[in-house]
Amino acid sequence: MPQFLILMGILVGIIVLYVGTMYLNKKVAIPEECKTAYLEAQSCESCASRDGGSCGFSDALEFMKEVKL
Amino acid sequence: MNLLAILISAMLINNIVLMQFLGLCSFFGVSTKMKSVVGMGLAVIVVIFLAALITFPLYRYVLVELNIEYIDTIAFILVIASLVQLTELVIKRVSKSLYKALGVYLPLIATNCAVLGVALKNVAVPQTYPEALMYALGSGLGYAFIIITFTAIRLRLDSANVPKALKGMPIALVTAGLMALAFMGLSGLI
Repeated sequence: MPQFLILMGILVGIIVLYVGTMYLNKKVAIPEECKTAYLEAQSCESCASRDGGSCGFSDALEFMKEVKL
Repeated sequence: MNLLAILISAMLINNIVLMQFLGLCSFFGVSTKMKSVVGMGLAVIVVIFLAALITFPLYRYVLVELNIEYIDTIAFILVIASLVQLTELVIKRVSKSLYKALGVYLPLIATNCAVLGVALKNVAVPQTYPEALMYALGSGLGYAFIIITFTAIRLRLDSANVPKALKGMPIALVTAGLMALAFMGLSGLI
């Protein structure tokens, strides 16, 4: 039983730490001159899920039709 | 000497991207502009090092002592996510120029498996704290080195005569594969 309580205590502690830091971070606004750079970095392009390097499923199908694959 | 060997090994021989296939999303996603890549590389070095600084003692002196080391993955995910939030918060407050160059990439790194992978590998093998930190530093440097090199190649490929079916991501994957093969040649270095 104490083992379980320790486990839950640590897990809850870490979750509270995460939620707390996330809340504090959200409260601090992004500096005005950094907004463009921030949006550019966070766009889907950054994760290669859109036009940046790869394309969506429908785009891929269109491409395959175009090159007759 | 041992620490230097760990650094070189983590950076070149057991590179996290090319040999362990970690952090591939950002590796392929961000490697389109040199400016973004340098910022991303620096951010990864900082976060991997800070994560190792915290997760190693957390595992050895808290989780192992309390016999709850089996929650290491979930604990590390949350600790790394908190660390990234905290780092972003501090950089945002302290230096706007640093935030513009490095901080904007921090949210992407919160979900980067390379950071978690290095933290988990650090505790999986018996080693000392300085060795763990050196491994983390080497991994971060290795990531930055590879992503910068890869971007330089991709930028040159933009002006090359690549067959239409291979344009974009396919040729990038082929390039990454060839780079991985080339880096396998360094396996006898140490």
